[in-house]
Amino acid sequence: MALRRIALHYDCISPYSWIGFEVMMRHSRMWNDPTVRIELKPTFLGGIMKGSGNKPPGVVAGKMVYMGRDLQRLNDFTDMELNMLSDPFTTLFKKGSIKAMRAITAMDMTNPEVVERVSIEVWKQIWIHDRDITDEAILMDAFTSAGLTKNKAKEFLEMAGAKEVKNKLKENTEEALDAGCFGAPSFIVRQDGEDDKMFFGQDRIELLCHQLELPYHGAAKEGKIF
Amino acid sequence: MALRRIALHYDCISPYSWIGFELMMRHSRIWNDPSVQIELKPTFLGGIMQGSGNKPPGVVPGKMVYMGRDLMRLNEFTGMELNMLSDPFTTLFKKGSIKAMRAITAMDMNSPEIVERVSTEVWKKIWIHDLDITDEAVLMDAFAKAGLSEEQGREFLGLASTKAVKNKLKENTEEALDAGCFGAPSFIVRQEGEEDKMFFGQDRIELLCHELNLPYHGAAKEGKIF
Repeated sequence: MALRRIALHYDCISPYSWIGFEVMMRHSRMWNDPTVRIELKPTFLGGIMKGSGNKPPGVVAGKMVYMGRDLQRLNDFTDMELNMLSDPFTTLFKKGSIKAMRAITAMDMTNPEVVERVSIEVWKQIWIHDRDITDEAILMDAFTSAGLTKNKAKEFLEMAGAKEVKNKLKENTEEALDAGCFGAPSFIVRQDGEDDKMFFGQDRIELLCHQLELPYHGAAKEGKIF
Repeated sequence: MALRRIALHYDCISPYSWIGFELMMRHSRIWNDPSVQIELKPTFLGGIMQGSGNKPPGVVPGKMVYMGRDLMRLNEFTGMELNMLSDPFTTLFKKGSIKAMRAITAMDMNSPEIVERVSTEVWKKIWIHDLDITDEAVLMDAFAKAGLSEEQGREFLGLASTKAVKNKLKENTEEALDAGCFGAPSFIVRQEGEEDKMFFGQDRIELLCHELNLPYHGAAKEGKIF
């Protein structure tokens, strides 16, 4: 079977990115199939929104109310523990995630093996504990919880300000825009001799599985490791 | 088991309404569970958008491109045959569906047993054959394909402009808005002694099943009858 690569574009500012990331990684562990390779792509969702002319769901009042309930239902379904933010407007639109996503991009460039665990710890800070991920102490806490030494963690925070790291995050974001993305999570399936196929949203993993003839396991709880 | 009622709010202008409607009806036939009752609620999506301050997805160009592909993937998954419209702007935003939805509402008030079949035939006109459902001849043909006589078809078209029918469609639309809807399809689950629960989108049937402890069957092809 030819290699199928799935680029998973995500931003830790986005709770649906977390759910999509978690459910996809669980599936990947259950498939345990060397012909399917997940490529984690830290991405800047603000750049996707601007580049595609899209608007975040928070601008329609009823959608924000619904989102809180939808997240609770997804918690129940997936066995995750997301909480609504106390001040979504400030957290999502004023503070954002650029520093966190740059630090994760720095890790991806030098220690890709830590990216999954660190991304999850950053999501936990914002989407479980309602903490400010623009605060370096919070990020340090997330990085060390993921198993990084304090020195290593500091190093990545410094690298976040480097030009090549900033460029790499921009590159991942442009890669997503070029594939037609307008939000996150987005999954780009690449296969030799076939057109790239972009799937948008945590709820399209079922269709992605169907397309690749891989079994869909719903919440895929057997693949849960963290 | 206490009765669980699922109000299915849909508009034939919306392709995702059709997919959600079809999947829910298939599930309902497979469940074959008298404690679960689907209540079809013809609804005016334009009124939902206006009342909730939401905007249709067509306003972001990348979303419209993606929607075409998403519908093709859903076809493949569900065994349906939707096609993208040749002129979505005119069909969706200038022409709309109010006459069709009023006629279906008239049927719901007088002969509810034909609503499922007629709605499906109206969807086929617009979302398979790209025909104009503001044209009475096209609607008459849809009604005939659903088994109505010419006389019955004309009668329902006549009823479509009566005050009682217009008010009933408004009522269904307001019922959806009151439950927090901002789009279609929307599913409102009602159970005695519990709060109403609204689920938005064809992709949330899986969560609805989880909530009601009912088996989720994906495309549920065994429940397909039309």
